[in-house]
Amino acid sequence: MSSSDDYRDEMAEEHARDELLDLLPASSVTVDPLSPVAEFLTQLEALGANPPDADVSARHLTMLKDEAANNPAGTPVAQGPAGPLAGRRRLAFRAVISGFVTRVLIGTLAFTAVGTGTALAADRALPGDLLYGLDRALERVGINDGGAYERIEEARALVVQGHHERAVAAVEKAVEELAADSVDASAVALQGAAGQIASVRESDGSGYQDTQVFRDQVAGLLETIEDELDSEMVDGSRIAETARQFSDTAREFAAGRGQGRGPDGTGPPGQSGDVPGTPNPPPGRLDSP
Amino acid sequence: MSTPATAEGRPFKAVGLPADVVERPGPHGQGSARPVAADAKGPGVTFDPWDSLLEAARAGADWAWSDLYRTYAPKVRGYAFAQGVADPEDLVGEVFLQAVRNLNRFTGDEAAFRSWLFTIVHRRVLDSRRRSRRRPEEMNGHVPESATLPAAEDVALQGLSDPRLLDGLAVLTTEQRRVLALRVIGDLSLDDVARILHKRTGAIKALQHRALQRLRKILDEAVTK
Repeated sequence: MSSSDDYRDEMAEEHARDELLDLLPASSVTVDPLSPVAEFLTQLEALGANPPDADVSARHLTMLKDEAANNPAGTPVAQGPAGPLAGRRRLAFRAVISGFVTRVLIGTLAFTAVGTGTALAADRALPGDLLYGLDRALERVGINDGGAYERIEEARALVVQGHHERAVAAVEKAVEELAADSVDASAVALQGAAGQIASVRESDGSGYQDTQVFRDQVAGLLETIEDELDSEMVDGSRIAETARQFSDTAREFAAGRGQGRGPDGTGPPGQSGDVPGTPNPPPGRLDSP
Repeated sequence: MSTPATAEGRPFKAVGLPADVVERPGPHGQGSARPVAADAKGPGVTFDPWDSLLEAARAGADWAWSDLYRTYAPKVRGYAFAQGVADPEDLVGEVFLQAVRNLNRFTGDEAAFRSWLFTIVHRRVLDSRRRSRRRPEEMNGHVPESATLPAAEDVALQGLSDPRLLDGLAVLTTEQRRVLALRVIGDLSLDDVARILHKRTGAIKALQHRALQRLRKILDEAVTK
């Protein structure tokens, strides 16, 4: 390489560093373009220029193409029927999949079907779908790894589709996963929260799950969990507090309905869809989760 | 100093075209097809390449997802690496799968897409870190002394080949590292970073300021010694 090439390369490098430093405005810290800090920033930027390994990229692209082809326009995956039937079907499926079939399916899929349509379809499944149990089973062996965010995403998708009662199951799973990832008091609080949410999920039949209040509370619960998921150390007590309000409301509703206060048995007179009893206390007023 | 170039959004590499286009096999992999402009439009007619790309991605076009992946996968991987994620490449796959599924919820230009994508990335990184904290306990069957156990991300960072990059990342706090990586690797504006990290723009400025100050102190001083 000639000295003029060297000079051109040097100038290009300096120019690139100047551009990089321009990306970091609003700082009174001046950085010399030839300093070690500038060199560090250049290397940091370069870290984002290396593509994944070729084999990995090819596998990812195949996976994305399958997913995009199976799910055009990015629409949420089609859902099975909502309601109690879906719940029973889910339980029945889980019972089947929990035994020998699970082991065979996991074993087979782990070695032959990762990255193929089946595993992908399972990964896209939402609570209540036939493949949802398989998705969770695969996650337990490290395939289609889920995480609390995935559960929350599932819940969001179900809320958008109007399946709030099924969203509660996904929320419960998200909280269980967070509890498993947490330690000490936060883990205990989150385990309690999962129990509270389960109690609401199991309370269908009271009519509460048909109310706007229920839908609002599901949305509120989702928001609180999403908020906490954005911090590295999840505050379990905050989620537990929201879950407790959720559960209290369900209990109050069931009690109100038991007293036959609503004209149609779904709430107090004149407030169809509303919740009987006193309003919930504001956050922070309740004590233990 | 100038406003970040990212605020306006950089022109996207992909060539996208309006609806009345003809298609031909493109250079983006076997069987892919990329739209090519019909001459009928004539001069003076403009279209937004980004919108066309997004529309094609929503419709499940191979070439669109290939373009998006090739443009952003290196950045996603780099960010995950800088955050000490144990398996950055796995995370890239997870992020793009989620992007495919959720694209219907996204609207906006390329800068907004970058911000949206890095929101997914940031959340996945947090998930991954939470999981990696849990794993040592599961393996040992007891709760470790957190003060003596190196954080999983610090262990993963040892995999960086360049000692200066490792030194620089090591002196930053988690939040400072996150801000610098989102700004430099993610190519995001201060406002975007603030949105992703759920902080005020002023707080992000302060984190960036302190990060640069700290880097200058540690790295520059190390050279002069």
